[in-house]
Amino acid sequence: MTVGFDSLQPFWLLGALPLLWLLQRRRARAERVTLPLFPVLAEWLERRGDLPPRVFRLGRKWRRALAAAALLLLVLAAARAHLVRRVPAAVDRLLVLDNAPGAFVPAEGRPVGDHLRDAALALAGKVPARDRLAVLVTSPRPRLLTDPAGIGGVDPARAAPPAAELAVVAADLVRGAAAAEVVVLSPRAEEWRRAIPPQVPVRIPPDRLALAGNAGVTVLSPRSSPAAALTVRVTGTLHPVMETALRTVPGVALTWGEGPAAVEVIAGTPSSPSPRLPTLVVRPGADFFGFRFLRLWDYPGETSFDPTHPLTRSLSFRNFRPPRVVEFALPEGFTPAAQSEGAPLIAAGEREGKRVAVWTFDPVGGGIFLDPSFPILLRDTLSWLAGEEEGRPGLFPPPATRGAAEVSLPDTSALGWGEAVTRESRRTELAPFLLAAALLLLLYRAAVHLYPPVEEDE
Amino acid sequence: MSTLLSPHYFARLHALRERLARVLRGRAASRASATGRGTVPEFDSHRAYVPGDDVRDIDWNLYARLDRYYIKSMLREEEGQLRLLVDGSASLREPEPGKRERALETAGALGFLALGAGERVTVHSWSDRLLSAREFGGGEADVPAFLRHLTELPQGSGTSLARSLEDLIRVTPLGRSRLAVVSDFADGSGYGPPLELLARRGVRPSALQFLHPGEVRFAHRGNLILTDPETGATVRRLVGYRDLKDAQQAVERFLRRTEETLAPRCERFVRHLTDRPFEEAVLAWHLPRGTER
Repeated sequence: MTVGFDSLQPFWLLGALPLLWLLQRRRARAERVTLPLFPVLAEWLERRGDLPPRVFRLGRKWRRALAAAALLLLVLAAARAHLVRRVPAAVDRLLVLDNAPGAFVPAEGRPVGDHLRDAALALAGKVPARDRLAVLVTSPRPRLLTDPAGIGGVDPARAAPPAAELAVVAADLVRGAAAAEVVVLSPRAEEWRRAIPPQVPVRIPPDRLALAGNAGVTVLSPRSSPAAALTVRVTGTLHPVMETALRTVPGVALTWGEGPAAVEVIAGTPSSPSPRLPTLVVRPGADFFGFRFLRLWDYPGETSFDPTHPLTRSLSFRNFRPPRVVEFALPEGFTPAAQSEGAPLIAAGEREGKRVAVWTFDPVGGGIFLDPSFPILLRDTLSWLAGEEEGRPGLFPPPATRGAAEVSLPDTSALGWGEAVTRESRRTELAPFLLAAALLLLLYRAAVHLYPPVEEDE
Repeated sequence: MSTLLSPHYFARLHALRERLARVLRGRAASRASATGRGTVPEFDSHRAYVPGDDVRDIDWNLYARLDRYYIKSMLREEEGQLRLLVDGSASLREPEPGKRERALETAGALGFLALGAGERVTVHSWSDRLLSAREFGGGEADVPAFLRHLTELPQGSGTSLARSLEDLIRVTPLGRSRLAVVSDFADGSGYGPPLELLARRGVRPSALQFLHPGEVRFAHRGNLILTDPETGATVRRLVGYRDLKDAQQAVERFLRRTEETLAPRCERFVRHLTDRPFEEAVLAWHLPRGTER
């Protein structure tokens, strides 16, 4: 259970405290008035006035403390303080076990490979039950172990692909599986360090573990900072299912209207002659952006996907049979990523310097959205529109932090998984209570001190 | 330099006299003939010497016998005499010096007019008792000395008009002199009985009350330390809306009580707010209500 704030800006108000203090001092200071009629106003001066007698008396310090407490409570209420209970969310973790020839080198009386295997087994055993673990064994060719028990059978290989190639594979896995964390156990740490592309959500920690006792084991942890959200502007009437699918893409925030956005999704035919942003056009019905309408087409035949195209290379649709598509003649610069009988179903290209992807089908019709590949198609399309390039995948890594499960290495240093990604499970608003408490304090202060007890304070 | 000694003030005095001339010419002429010099003075009484008395009036024969100074008061001298009783208390100097200045300007104008008409003018300063007395009788030639004396009047702190009047009655043969009390009358002690005593002796004084507009309309609000300028006593008070109304009512009661005390016992009662020129006070004092000013 932690305390959170929706906005920290109200805390700037606390900077006004000295000003309030000065004003209060000025107000509390009595004004000296020489009264020539003093002797003849004795009757009035001797009377205590019509103010009611005070039941309680509070010293000046207490009154100030009450006012300060009330102000603090008001600031906390303005900052929308809340109690939040966070529970860990299940994430995918990737363990890269690099059994390159360097693993033959002996260290501490054993080959480095044995140390790597032990560390990998220990790490695999520490994966929280809610998480999924994939182990990538690099040599002699990259292969994925779905059962961590297979780690015990991994031996050093005679030949290994270069780390640069492996890094791309790992990066693809990160992107494809939206892995929250990658740990690379390798005897060729420097090579990995150089090979990891800067956009891959992996960082090299300063406490590198390439010590003699650890046989050159290198741990690469994900970046701790969350990726920037991708703001997607929705234009036209989007089907609720499609909108929900967009919302489920990690890091995507939807917006409507003319606010700032990085990508635009247009449902139907675009009204503008050229794209204003990188745009995904979903089932247009007429000419647009140089696309020329040819015909409406019911129940096309088998669909073929381009396995090299950035939009479709990760797809494995079991059933991609849209009931109705619109056939367009593609303008120059656009290529089909998926087509049926020569008619493009998914096309991508650039128009006036902005990327444009076009789905000529209705993703809701025919149950396409139910296929496990559909979220990948959606994410890859947005990722490409947002500027993904070859070797720079993974635009929306989920946030992660360090150090929850740990494995002790031979030199007693620690090797561990990052802290689990958490999500809010219950939020309790504190602002109404804080506001009520502040008002009560102010009311109490005003009620017991309808006028300042200057006589007592002097 | 005090405003009383400035050429501008003199010019205003002369203009004021011209304005009054139409009305006062007849009275002044008759007084001049009645009190003309060369007439044999008639002995009235003896009184004790007070600082400021003219040494020429000391009865040296009496001094030789009693070894005390006594002033020989002559009845003829008291005729056509104006006595200015100028408040020297601290309350007249507050809430701002302009209040006392306006009172002195008015007293100066009254004296100037009286001296110009050939009257003798005696200036008494008083606060919680009679402080001093000095007589001027040299006609218009004495005006500069008279005005300078006004600027140098001794000042006290407290206010007791009753005691000061008793002092005056005790030490001064008043005869038929005119008496003008210049004060704010911020006096907690009653001064009705001495005024009645004066009336029994045939002297009906005039009262000129000087008040600052801020005193008449009490407008101080908030956390106040109210100070008595005469005693230095203080009262701390948070004056809010209701208390302000009460204070205003107390001021109005004071004004009403002052008028009820002074108006029946005095020949004239003039209340003057110090944001108005002194000429208005002088005109009100000289001219009966309803006549042209």
